[in-house]
Amino acid sequence: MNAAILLFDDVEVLDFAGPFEVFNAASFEIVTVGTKLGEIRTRGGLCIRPTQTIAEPLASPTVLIIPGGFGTRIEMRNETVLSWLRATAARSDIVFSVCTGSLLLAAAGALRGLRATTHHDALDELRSAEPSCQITGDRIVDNGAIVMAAGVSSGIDGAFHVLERLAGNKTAAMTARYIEYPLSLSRITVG
Amino acid sequence: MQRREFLKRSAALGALAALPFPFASIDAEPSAITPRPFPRPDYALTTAPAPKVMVIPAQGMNSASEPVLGWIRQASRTADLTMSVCTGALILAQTGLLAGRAATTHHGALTAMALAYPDIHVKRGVRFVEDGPFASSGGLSCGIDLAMRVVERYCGQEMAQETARQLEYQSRGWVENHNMAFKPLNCQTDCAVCAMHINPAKDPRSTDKGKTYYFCEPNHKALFDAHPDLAVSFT
Repeated sequence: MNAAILLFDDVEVLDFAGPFEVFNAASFEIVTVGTKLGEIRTRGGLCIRPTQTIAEPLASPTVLIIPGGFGTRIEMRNETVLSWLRATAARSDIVFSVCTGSLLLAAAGALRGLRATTHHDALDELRSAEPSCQITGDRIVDNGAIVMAAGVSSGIDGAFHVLERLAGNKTAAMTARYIEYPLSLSRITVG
Repeated sequence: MQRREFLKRSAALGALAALPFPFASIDAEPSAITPRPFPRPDYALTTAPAPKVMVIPAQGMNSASEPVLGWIRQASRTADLTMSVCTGALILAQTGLLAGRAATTHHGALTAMALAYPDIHVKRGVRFVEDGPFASSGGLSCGIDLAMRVVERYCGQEMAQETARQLEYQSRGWVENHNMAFKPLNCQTDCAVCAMHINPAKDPRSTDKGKTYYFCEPNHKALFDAHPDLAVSFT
């Protein structure tokens, strides 16, 4: 199984690093996809060089991870990124947003009529971006093909939820033990 | 830095983001070919300013070169806190700075650390250990809890709670400091040093006080044989 992670300037580090580590510890192949050529400067200043850019071919992901961060306010107006997101989401088994990655899904039109969640400070922004979605504010919302986690560290719980769906309860539990993460904290709403 | 160590570095970074610290590494440039998202350090060891908080995450190898060890020793003299995450504790231990102090590491490396460094008090079942100007966390995600604790040390409990709220971090590990990942070994199926699966039919073994212990490799048998009482106390 393989995971693709979208990276852009001012992405929140733990939004993508948490799920990265969960899927990495579970032996997924992971590709990071930058919205531009060269390195990405994350929120907080850590500079990362992604595996490839959105302009390059990408194998269909089992999980497409869309992290959040202040950069989503820029990227949600970037039609090149949004059309890549629509096309890639259509050939992913699961699209998984973390934090304000929700705003990119909304801008791409992927959340119409769905239940949704995002960072607790961004609930109104998400409502404006997609008035038709029902915002629960839960830690994890599972709409089947689209799974959403609330703010920052919720992405770790969301990643475990997606891992459990794809690889089963035993793999999720073993992975949690390996990274010494207490799993019982997840709050899951099935939409 | 190997892909497996990414969270250990970045999670601590997430919680420490409020503190304006730059990052240093052995090399200032990433290697030319890497398929993984590669963090680019801000400084090389030779150019890095003296840190107030030094974070030593797990490395690809559990040992470091003399220049790296020397830099850690020197920088720790002026740092408020020198902390390791996961098996970064083995690097910190290698500097000699933890001698006589308490420390912890990933649950799979506890026994190996205790045996390789008998003068360190290796603690089990905790998410982190603080001892004077040094601290060490358990495996991977424990680094978030130690980072939260460091924020609390600098900024007080109220600011730490606010940081947790902003990160929507619900784990109470940084307050309660209890690690569920540690569990007693099954000495018939697990290496008595690192808990890796063993094959009793062919893997090396030792007997202590009438009980047989198995090892995944000869090095772990040698560690065990040097301090059997200490090793048995970790099983």
